[in-house]
Amino acid sequence: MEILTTENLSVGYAGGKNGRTAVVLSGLDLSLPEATLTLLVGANGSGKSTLLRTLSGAQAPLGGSITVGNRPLHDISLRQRARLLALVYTDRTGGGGLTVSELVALGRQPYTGFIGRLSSADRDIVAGSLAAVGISHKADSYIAALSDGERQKAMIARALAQQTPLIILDEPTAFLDIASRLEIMQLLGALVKNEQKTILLSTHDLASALGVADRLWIVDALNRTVVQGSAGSLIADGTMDKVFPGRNVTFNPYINDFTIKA
Amino acid sequence: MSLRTRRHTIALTIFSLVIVILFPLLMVVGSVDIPLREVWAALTGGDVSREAWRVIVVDTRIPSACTAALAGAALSVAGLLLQTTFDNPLAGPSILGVSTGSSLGVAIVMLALGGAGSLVGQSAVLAGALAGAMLIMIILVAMSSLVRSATMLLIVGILIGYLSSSAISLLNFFATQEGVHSYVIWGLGNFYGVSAERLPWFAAIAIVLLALSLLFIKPLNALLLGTRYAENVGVRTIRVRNQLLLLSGALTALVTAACGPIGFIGLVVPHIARLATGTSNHATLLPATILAGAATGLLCALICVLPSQWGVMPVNAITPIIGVPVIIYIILRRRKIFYFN
Repeated sequence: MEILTTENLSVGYAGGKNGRTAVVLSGLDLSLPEATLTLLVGANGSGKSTLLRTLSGAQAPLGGSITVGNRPLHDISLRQRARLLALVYTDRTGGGGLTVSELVALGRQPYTGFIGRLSSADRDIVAGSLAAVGISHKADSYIAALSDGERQKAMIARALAQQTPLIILDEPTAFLDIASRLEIMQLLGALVKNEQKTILLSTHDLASALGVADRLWIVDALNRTVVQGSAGSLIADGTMDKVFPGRNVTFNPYINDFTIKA
Repeated sequence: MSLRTRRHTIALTIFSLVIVILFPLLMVVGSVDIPLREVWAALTGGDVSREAWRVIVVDTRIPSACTAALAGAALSVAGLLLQTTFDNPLAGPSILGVSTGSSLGVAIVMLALGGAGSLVGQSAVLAGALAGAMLIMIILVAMSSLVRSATMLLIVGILIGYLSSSAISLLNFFATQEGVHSYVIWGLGNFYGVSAERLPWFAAIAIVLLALSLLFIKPLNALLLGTRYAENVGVRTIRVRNQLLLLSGALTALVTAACGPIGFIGLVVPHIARLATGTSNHATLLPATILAGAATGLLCALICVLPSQWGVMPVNAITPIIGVPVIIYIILRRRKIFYFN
């Protein structure tokens, strides 16, 4: 069962510079099977964030279609969408004066009433989300007092509290140290196994991420499209090398990362 | 009850206590010494030995104290809404050009149309202030669909404020001396602009607008994480931003029309409320800001009448004395204050 599929999708910007339409990626026939973790791999500026924004509905596609949970994305209202997909971004946010549990409780907004009062069921879900990412002991700390790694775990807990089948993360570990990067990837892997979440994340940190990834979406920079497949097969057939065409790097399967060409 | 909820309760109680203490003080302190027993008689409708004393208490002191409390609360809430909307701790009604827009409206009424302040009616001043503020809000809302970035919109607001100021200067340059004088007096700010007959109207509008702000607690909290996360939990961010702009514009316009352009309260009180309650959660912060704003308004009104034999000092001479130390404290302690970063 697929949580999300795209058909001949093209993403980019209508009326960009000189009023011309800038197609960033096109011909995308992609899918996210239920309870899998998919890595979106691509060079800087290759269109990863544009694709993720389009899939989350924040930006209109230039062509083709996106289906989430068997419904066209553009037919799904903002409020319904909030119950289907949750987002985690790279950069630090405001809200430093909220406690961790207040921040995670924001994930319950699609379910609460007009003034946002939490029911006891909502509180249980918040506590469960905190426990799932392992920061229950920080529940009453201010967001401003957290380390970057703890902060990103709190944002993931917020996404969990939203109780969506699909979670999309845009470079969630970009500013974290190696220990936090590995912890977050293990955590995401566990969410797929234990809670049947479907996760799509973009990252440059393949060494930490490939260990838990089921599938890959690889941006083919030369053809401005995305190739999808199981992690094992795409590594085996050399598709990884399409990420940096014409650059002096190649993918080394023994260390699960790019290295300088020998 | 957790430590944190206890802190919220203590802060709200202290703000309420300050209101309860200051309000009666304002009935007693003033440029005319009225014996305590006579003030009590005037308040309770008993026999007052001099009619003038009854008039002072009932027609001046009660309306001005109520105006001060409501104006303080309204400006503070406007400031809080703008600070959250623009994700900028230094946003406030006077920075966004809204109160300058009000001033422009009043300047047109007083300087271009009326001449001396006594010649133009209070209603014309009120209408001018409302029209000016609403004009600025409409321009900002129109720009809001073109300028997606909140910071850029804030800068547009500041620039429009400069334009209004320049128009005001030109009006002053060409106006009569009496017109300029009455406009300058209005610009100093005072809590005596609302008469006893008008007070119910002023109070009703202020209370309705304050109550409306309470409906925004949920989207305001979502906006703390920025527009992308807010949209992800279902908030229509552009629509909510426009509604918040209109609401804070209406709150500012109401106060500016009645009291003149009062600075600092809208900027500073939300910070006082955050520091006292220890939270950015609007479920606590918004009620705390209303109470702290009313308390600050009353405190300013009290300081204004303290040098009793010389009359009443202008409000805008007082608000920086309360406001500037708080702003400097916040800037110096920025790294240590919980709600930054």
